[in-house]
Amino acid sequence: MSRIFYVISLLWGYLLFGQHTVTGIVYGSQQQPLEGAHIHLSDQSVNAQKDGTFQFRNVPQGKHKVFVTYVGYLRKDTLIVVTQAQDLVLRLQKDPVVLQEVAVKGNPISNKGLVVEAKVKTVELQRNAARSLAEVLVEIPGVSILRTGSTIAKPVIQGLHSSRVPVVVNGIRSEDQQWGVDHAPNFDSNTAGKISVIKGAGALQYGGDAIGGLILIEPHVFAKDTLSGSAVVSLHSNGRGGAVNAAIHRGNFCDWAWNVQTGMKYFGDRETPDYVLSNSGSREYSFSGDVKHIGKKVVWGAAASFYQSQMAILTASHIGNVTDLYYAITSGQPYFVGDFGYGISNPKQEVRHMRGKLFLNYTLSDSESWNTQYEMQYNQRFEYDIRRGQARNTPSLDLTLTTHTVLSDYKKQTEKAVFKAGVMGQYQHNEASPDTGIRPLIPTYEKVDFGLYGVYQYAIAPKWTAEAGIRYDFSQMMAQKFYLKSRWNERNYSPQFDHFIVGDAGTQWNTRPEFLFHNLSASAGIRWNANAAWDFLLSLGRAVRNPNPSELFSDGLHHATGMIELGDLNLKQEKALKTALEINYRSTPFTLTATPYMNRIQDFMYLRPVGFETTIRGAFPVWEYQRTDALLLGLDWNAQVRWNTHWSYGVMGAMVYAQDQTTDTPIIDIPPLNFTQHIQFEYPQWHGLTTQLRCLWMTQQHRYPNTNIDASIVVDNQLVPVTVDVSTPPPGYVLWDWNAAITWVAKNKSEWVMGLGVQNIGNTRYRNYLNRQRFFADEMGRNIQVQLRYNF
Amino acid sequence: MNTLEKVQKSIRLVAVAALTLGMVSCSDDDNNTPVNEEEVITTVTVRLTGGGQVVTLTSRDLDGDGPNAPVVTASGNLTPNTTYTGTVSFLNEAETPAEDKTAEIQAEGLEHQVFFQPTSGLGTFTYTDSDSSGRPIGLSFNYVSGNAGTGNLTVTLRHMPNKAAAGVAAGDITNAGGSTDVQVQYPITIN
Repeated sequence: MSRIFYVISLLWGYLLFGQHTVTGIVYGSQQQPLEGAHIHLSDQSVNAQKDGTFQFRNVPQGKHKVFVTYVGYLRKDTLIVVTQAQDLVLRLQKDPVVLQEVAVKGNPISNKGLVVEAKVKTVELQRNAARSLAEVLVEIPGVSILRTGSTIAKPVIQGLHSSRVPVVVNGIRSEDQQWGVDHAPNFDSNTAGKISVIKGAGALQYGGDAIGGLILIEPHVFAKDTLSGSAVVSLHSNGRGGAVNAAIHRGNFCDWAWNVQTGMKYFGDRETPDYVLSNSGSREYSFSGDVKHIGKKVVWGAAASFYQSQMAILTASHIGNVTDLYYAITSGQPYFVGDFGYGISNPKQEVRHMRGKLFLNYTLSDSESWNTQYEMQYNQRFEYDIRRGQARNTPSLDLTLTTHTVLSDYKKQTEKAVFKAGVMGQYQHNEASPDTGIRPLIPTYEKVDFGLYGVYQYAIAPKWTAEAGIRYDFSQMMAQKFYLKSRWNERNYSPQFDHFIVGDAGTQWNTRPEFLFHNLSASAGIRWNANAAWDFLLSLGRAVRNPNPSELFSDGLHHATGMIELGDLNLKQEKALKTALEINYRSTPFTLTATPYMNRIQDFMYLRPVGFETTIRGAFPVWEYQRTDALLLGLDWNAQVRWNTHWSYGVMGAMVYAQDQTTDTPIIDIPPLNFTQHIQFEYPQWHGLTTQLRCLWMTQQHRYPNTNIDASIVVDNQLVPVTVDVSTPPPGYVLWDWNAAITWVAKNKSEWVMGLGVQNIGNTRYRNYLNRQRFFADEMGRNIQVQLRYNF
Repeated sequence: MNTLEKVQKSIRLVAVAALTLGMVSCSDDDNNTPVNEEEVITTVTVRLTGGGQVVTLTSRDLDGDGPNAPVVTASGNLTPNTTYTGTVSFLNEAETPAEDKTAEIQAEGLEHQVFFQPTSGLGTFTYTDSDSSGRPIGLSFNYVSGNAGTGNLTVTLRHMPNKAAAGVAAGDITNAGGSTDVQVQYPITIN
């Protein structure tokens, strides 16, 4: 049936539109023809002949995207308008940074690499210009969002997040207090050229501690020696705000290339179907720029970026103790609902992240390159609470994290092998300001890290490529913290840690805890390109993560949750052994990627309820960081059927089974089984019309530990024993989204793209298990989104 | 110094040396005074005057959020069916000298309310003060004791309650919302 449909649509296309032949030639920078260069024209592709020439027959009249790739050269993109037979001359620029392997047929080294990796499509990145990094990443199967209200969003990869999922920006890890489950990555997704998620092992180049996976953000690279840029305005009805972004890129011109980008997001209170989420607005500003000089052998340059955000936290989520939490849960709606407003008041978070970088790439020979970079990162985080008196405008948490990183990587690529090795050195200083009037959640500390890695990839047989790598990391941390003597005793730190004590400050000990870690991580992978349709990648890796500052040092009340959280100086590294198999099938009209995996984590650190402590604010449940052995089994998949040039359908989804093997209970906060389906209609002739209807089905999580709190609560002036149900996940839900975009191309090849979208079309009321504020309010209701983009 | 320590030391030295190149000044390490937790309330005192006696109920928790529970004391027993005039005060005794937080709560009266919840039959509380919009704060009140018996008195200080909600101005906490700054329980005996 679909075949007949396909034939009819082809025939129709032939009758309606003329067909032409497009020929051309591909040259390198020294005017030499590039044999084997890969030329794509819309959905056709050919390789250049010995003399660099190529030919496409039966090209329909109209606009076509053309791009050319050749190993060692920068990819060239262009748009052609076919009205008659055409002859193209395409000149490629040598890629001075031979970092990314470029696809070339006949190269024995698999161009796909040996890591289980998935990329966010550019179109998704552009459509979600007003959203956060985590919200962009959910387009990848296996990625979910851990939310705190409607503003703060963190990515979860295959059930794990925070310290277990580092974010690497342009080769260097983002150091922005990611241990906090309510700390969103300090990054504006609009400044990214490419975002990908590494789910399996094998990211040793970026660190040995990516227990859950890794988010890799790479900059825009423009091959064209022209000026290009874009300006985008997105408006959203929910939150009555939007985003403005502008970018200008200069490709290699007279040996210089540069990029500049800036953006702003501004939102007021978000709304559920029934009420305003009072104090849920947000602001974000970002700027980034880079400049590089491209010499024959040496490329050097500098880059800088600045990110600032202000995120309001739902007023009604500010609670004092378990009684408040009980009332919040039983009443089923927020205790405070005001009128819509743009203002941001306490509680709120304010962060600033600055990066400054210098880099030098040296091409030693045709096959060898050496790449060195230095980066300084400066991160400031202020968290404001509802407070009394003069403390009203004083942050409750004031952290300044300064990080200096030096990386040096060497790469040698031959016909059959790739060898990469590198060293990393890092110095970090965290300043927890004592001026907040509240004992800081994490202390002031200094940290020195040093890493060394080597990865070797080899084409062992025509269809087989294998990789193995090893990494050593050294880390030393020196902290400074005051412990209440009562806490020191309760934790049984005496006499084991008495050598950390350097002073007596009345009711508190002045301590200097010091930790030293030596970690060995490794990875191995093998890819089998069975045939044109099937390929398989098996990857195996060991990752080791040191306890983070909150796991070691937390010792107080966490206001947002009404819990006392206690760290433990006895914690050791957690060690994960992750096996993942990526199965790819590609044919017309069907494509499939499925990734089953198993992650065994020894000494998995997690918060566990251990009892109650009574303070002057009432009784609080106490949660303590403990170690256990965890097992995560899961499957992510993404399947698509492309019936014809117009219609396609896709379904992606993820399931995770996570078990605490010591207590034999499920692990908390694991995303439930979910499916996202979409049906897409494209009609290139109508101004490149693309429209998509999406349906997200989130099931209820039935596997969760019982962490309910038994407390005595004053109800009707009587103390009544109650169970505060904080563990039962909310019911599942189905959400429908729709979006569409059309493009106008002007004579000078600049283009206007107009997009329209509706999220949560049915204005469905729902709560999300992975939202830490699910006890207090519903999720956002319907949102209508309009976007206008200008590209030149 | 054993070999391992030497290796560690040299690795650290190399790392530090490699970084010195671009290092901007590191902030001073002078964190030798503990955080001054000026906002903390350590002590809640209820003074009841009536029937020719003064009864003081005190809850004191000097380690704040620390593991030690508050120490609760009552200076004496109450007399049945007697009218007491009462006040409640809040202190931070972690500071020397102790700081009285009551005035601050009074000044921000619109944002605060104290609730009194005795075990059933042990009497009733009525507010005798008000904030600038005419709703109670609860720093002063009248207490009429019930018949002889024993039980508890729960005193709660709510920050940002909804004083306009049903029953709240009359002392019912059910619809008050807000966040709890203080919640203490005094055992009381009436005989």
